[in-house]
Amino acid sequence: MVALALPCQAQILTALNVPLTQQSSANTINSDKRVLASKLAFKKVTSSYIIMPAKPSPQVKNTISARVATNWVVDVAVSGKVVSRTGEGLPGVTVILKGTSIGATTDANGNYALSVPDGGGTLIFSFVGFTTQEVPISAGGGTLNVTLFEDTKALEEVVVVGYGTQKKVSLTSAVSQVEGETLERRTTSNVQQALQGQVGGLTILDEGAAPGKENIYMRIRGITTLSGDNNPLVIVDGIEQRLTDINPTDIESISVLKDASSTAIYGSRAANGVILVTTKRAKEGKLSVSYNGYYAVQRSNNTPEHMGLEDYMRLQNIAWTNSTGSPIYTEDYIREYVNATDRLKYPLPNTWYDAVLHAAPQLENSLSISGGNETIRSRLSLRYRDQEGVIANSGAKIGEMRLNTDFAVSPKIRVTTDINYRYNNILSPIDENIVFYSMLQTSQWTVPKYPDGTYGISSDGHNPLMYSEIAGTSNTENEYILGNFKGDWEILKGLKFTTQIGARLDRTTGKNYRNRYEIRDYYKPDIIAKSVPVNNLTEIRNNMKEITINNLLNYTTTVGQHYVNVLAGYSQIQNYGGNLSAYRENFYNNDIQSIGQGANDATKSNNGNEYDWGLRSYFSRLNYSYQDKYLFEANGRLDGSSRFLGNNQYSFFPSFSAGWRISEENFWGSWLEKAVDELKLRGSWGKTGNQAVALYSGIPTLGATTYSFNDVPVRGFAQYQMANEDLTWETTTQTNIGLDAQFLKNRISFSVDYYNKITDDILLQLPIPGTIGLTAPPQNAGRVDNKGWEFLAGVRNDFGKLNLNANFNFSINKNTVVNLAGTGPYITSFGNETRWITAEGHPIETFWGYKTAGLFQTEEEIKNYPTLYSGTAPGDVKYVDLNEDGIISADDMTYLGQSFPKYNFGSNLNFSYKGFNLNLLLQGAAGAKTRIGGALIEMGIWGGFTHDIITDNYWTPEHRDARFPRPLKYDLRNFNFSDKDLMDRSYLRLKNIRLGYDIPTSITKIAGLNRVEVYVSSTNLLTFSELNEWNVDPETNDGTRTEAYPQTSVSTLGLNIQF
Amino acid sequence: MKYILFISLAATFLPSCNEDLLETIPNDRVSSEIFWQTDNDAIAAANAVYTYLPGAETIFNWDGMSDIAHITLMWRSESIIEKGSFDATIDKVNNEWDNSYKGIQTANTFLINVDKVQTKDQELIDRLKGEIKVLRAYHYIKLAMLYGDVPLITTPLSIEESRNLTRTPVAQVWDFVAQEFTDAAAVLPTTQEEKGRVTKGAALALKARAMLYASRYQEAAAAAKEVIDLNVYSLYPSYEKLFSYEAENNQEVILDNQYIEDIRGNSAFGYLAPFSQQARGEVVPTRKAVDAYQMNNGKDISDPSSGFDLMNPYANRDPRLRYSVFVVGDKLPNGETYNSLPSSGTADAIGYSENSTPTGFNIKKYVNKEDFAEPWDCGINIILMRYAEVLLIYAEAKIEANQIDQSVFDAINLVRQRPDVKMPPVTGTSQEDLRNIVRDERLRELAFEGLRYFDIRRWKTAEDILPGIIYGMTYYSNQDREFKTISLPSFVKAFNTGRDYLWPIPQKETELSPKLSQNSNW
Repeated sequence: MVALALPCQAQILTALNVPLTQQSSANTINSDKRVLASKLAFKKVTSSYIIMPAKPSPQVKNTISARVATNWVVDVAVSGKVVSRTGEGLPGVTVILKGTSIGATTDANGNYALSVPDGGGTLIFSFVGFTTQEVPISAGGGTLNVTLFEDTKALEEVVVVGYGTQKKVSLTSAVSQVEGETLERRTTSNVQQALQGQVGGLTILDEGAAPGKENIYMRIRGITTLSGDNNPLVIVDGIEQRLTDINPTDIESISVLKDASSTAIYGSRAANGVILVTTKRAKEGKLSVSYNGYYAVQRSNNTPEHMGLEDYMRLQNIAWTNSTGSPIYTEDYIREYVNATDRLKYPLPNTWYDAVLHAAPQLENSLSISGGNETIRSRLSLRYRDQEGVIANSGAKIGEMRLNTDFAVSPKIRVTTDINYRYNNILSPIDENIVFYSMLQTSQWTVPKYPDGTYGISSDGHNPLMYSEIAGTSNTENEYILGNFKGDWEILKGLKFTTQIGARLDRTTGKNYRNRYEIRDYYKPDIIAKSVPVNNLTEIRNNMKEITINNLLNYTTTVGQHYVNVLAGYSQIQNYGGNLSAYRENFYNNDIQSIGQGANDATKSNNGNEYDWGLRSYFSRLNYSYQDKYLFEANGRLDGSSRFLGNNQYSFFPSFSAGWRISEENFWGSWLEKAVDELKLRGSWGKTGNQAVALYSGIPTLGATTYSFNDVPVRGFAQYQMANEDLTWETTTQTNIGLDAQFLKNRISFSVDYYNKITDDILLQLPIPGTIGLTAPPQNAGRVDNKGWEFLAGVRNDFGKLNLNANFNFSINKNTVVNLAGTGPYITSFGNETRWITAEGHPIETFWGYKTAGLFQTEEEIKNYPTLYSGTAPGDVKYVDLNEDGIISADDMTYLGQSFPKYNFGSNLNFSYKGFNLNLLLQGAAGAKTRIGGALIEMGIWGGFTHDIITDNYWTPEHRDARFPRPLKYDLRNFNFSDKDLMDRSYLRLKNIRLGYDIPTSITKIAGLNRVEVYVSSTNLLTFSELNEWNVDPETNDGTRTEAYPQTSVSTLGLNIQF
Repeated sequence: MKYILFISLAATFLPSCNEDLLETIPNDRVSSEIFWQTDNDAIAAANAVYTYLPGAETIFNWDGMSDIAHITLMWRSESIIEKGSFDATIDKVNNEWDNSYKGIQTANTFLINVDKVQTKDQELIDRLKGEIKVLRAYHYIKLAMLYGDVPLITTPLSIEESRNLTRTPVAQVWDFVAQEFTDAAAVLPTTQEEKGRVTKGAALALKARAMLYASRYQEAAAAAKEVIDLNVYSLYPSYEKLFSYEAENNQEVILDNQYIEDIRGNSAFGYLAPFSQQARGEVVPTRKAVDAYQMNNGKDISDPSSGFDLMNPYANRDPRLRYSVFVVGDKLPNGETYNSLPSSGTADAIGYSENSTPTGFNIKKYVNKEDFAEPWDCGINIILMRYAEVLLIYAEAKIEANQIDQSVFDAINLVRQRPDVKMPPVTGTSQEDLRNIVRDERLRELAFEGLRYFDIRRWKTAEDILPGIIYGMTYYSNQDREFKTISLPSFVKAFNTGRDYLWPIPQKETELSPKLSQNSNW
């Protein structure tokens, strides 16, 4: 009988030590069978087949592939219904005959039907969100009804950890994993943006910026170092890379390692946490093709409203009167101007946000082909992406390819090779920063562009539209190639050797071309309104090469109820590169953009530098568990870095962790078991390092400089920086206590972590007396603490046909500078700009400035209170004399709040109903402030953008309870950095909303497609923030806001096809 | 078996261990250990010391903090000093200190190490030592003038040594400076093959300036006389062209900071020229500067018999006025006419923009039309010491020493009677008269060259002439049919007599080197 034959074969195969992997295809089984038949003919194995005529059932309409039957096997029909736990028919379930490409999808009622070659086999039923089931087919086919249960994979879930994987239940450290599928739901430019709001303890601030140049801050559990790099280490398939180097659709999963026990195995680079990315690999089976394409439109999130024309002129008159005694516009002129209809002759004060910013399209196509057999599997993915910017001459294009291939050389030897090529082209106006600067800070009173195309030039000589359109471009091309080879050899049962060699090549070429141009006055063309008489080109060539070698030896064994896993490894990284730049000017015309065509005279110049560094590491890990109940892990890494000299070159980073699965204990009574499926307590302690010190800091070197005698340049050499040969690592010691729980048949999961992270020997540019005459060397001195909580919760449930899957995360981080080695505080300041202080007892980069007590109302009040400036008058800001010494001075400045959010939260809500899927991502941050600065708040002081919020809201003798001070021309007295201009940066926003619809398979089948999904999505659709009244995005950077490429909202229409 | 073979074959691809992995030696910079071997090393190290000479903006800002000019951009820390509301933490107070000691450090390192060089040309080494001593002493003049007693450092310091520094009494600093200049002058040539290098004349002229600043008038006069007697320097015939490209390295220049466009340019044009020239006019003359220029008959404009005409205020004046200052009606580098009247409608009109002059005047010295195209990359050399100053030092030192003789008048009148200036000779008898005469002459001759700020402090006149609001031009308003005088009522220059004659020691320094005392009242 067929039903008996298969297990029987399997036993025989096992007995003969012939591999029968889960992925073994029917073909191979059959061929093995033939081989066996020849070997074991006396057992007459094949005689048990019953030969039947093929009898296609009338229900067979969803069959997509009816394989031609072999001459000795005949197809039989199998059909049935797939239902959920509640008995509802499940549409869209994929049904596949194991090891073949024969398959079908359930219809709207959960019914399926297909014909399979008789001779047994197993059907695999899989559906997103449900546990995959394998059911053997009865001989001769027939009806096979299946109940699928919601995926309670938490128990089986495997988490990627450093140099390996671990079952989630036996994890003793703080690791969060995000599936690639979750990331794909967002239309983002890069992986960082997609990760935002998904992981507790991972703060991502998306400050916007032009396509390809996104300014994104990622911090795991706060800021640990003062001067160095606070970015987490990113490892992709074992090789250090940048997150921006990954195609989001290639990601299988991302693990965020947060505590020291999970990160210590990365030693000296792990202090800021580690992000592990695993890319997708092919599964055995027929080729599957997946396409995802979308078209999106981006719009600026920062579009402040300018004050009305007449209001603005009157504000200016008051400002001039307050400063000089007389107004600048006569009443007649105001009337004439306001009533004018010809806005070419009488331009509005500032229309740049309308003129310069526009909606910009974004297009992406990605395609993947994957499949293979038991010896070779391969996945090819292609992506092309074209994103325009919201200002002229800006945009980014990415084209990339990845080929991940797996070879099974023998049952014990597996080889994988991955190749990733990426082309990235970023275009921006040469003076992109000036475009945004001049939109906000200057450029009043002109027409952006006259009807004949002439640019208007503002009174102070600017036109941001002109800068973006004709000033020139910066065009950067980056080519990135990754080759990653990996071999696994199972030497003995449980003992595996792995070697990996990865090479990264990164080459950047750039052309920054500044155009020559001349703008004539629209009304008097003989007047040159603006001229840039010389064009020039700077070309850059940067290249980097990095070779990583990892060798691992891993041994796993289970003796009775003892489980032991030992890992020993060696790793080295060698990185070298160099940069070249060349400059020439005076090209024949602006279209000639090749360096050799510029003037070959003294104006040409070039520059370059080189670098190299190396890292050599030995590491080991021990996992031990007893009865899967008591878990223990130890890690250690010895890291050597070329950045340090002598005895400081090597440093050791250990960690220990332990876990107790309380729910596995006998005392966990049945009543408890009903409610709580899993309860685990875990704790960890460990040390990690940070080697973020500039290269060669320990070696005294001379810098080159240039002087000239009689117009002949001469070279000079001098030491500029003091060397510190005693430099060593920053060390972060982290303690973590966590609790994981699953309730109500795993419908609810909850996890909480508390951590205390202390970073010692922080590399500080410790100030040294100026009398030394050299720049301070980095020294190991400071200490910073980060303490915090992380809460994660997940809910999954079905309400009839409505399926809900929701995750929530909330984290608190308290950052404190504990010790600055008797120095500091460090205050960064430039005039009246935003001022930060890093001082003991306060978070890194706390705002530092004056407190204010409203506005002075009377001369009397001014007489009786110290003022910062002579000539203070009613309507001016009252800076508080905090130390009550009778004068306002720097001594009165105080802490005004932190700039980095203390609270971060996110929630991912997923609803599916029949073919519809709705996903909402809410994200927010709180506990931080930010400054409204520059023209946005300065009330037309110089002639920049003046926000509508100021209208009728500034001090005049008639309007004493105004929010803003009296206007003053060319006088900054009311804009010293103070609490008055600091706003709460807290926000909650609907970061992403996505609605997808799966076209019923009954329709898609007609076109021979497995799945077709159309979706619409939108980012940053709704934001709650105090900053809304300023029309600035709460995530944009501090200081003079909106002075950079804005945050955008993206509306997307997309299509997913699978076949 | 074949798998063992496969593994063996695969193993051949494994890279062998790289022993040098962690021993990276930079090859894009010069390590200190291999330096100080050849004459070229000595020359290169000396060249680096020259880069610490003050640059264009620094020089112009000194006048902006004095009574004769104004810094327009209020967020600059120089502007805060101009307002007198500064303290020991301000950038400028730090930067002048730090930059001077950086220059001194580079010089000290040179002087300590240069004898390691295996040379066959001892003359070269001695000459370079002379140059570097002069450059080092140059920094000490400024430090002494700004901060008074300062640490006198002549060798490279360790962090430990720097933490234990104390301030050397200023008299000892002046002694040191005088001796250094004397020693350097003994080895330096009167002319250098490479123009721009420090000469014997530069050593002596700077000594004269230092001794004048130190009120050691005998020594100042003697040093100035030595320069005069070298017979190497003379006045350039054209004051108008003195700061132009064609006059670079002329017979009047004793020391300058040498620039070369594109390679090591300065921002003179962009920093000084009027806004209509696509520049920013960040330091502008005040009314006080303009009024200091006499009528060309030698009379002050305040003298009723001078012939000064308010309707035509810039006519018949000391020609140096219009060689130094843009006034309404002057030709601009781009060929247009300068018109700063508030109603002129040009980009230079007062109030037109934050970069338009608020006083109605712009500085003209160093504004050369060659730099119009690239206003922030100028090759014009910035003069740090010229012969006219030596003559005026000589005169002032003799007057202060009360050794008034014909040579005093000769020196002043030589300056006044440059071919394109031709002002009547001065007369006078009393020491007091002559003191005022020479002081006013310094203002007119040396305006906007970075000396006025130091002059009014050493004369202790700052307390009288500095405080108050800033005035600009007076013009006849056709609309209102009356004369109007521009003023900046919200900008008040202030001076605290008991405190401001010396800057504070930067607070960062007193914290890091606790043995450094602070100046009084700071």
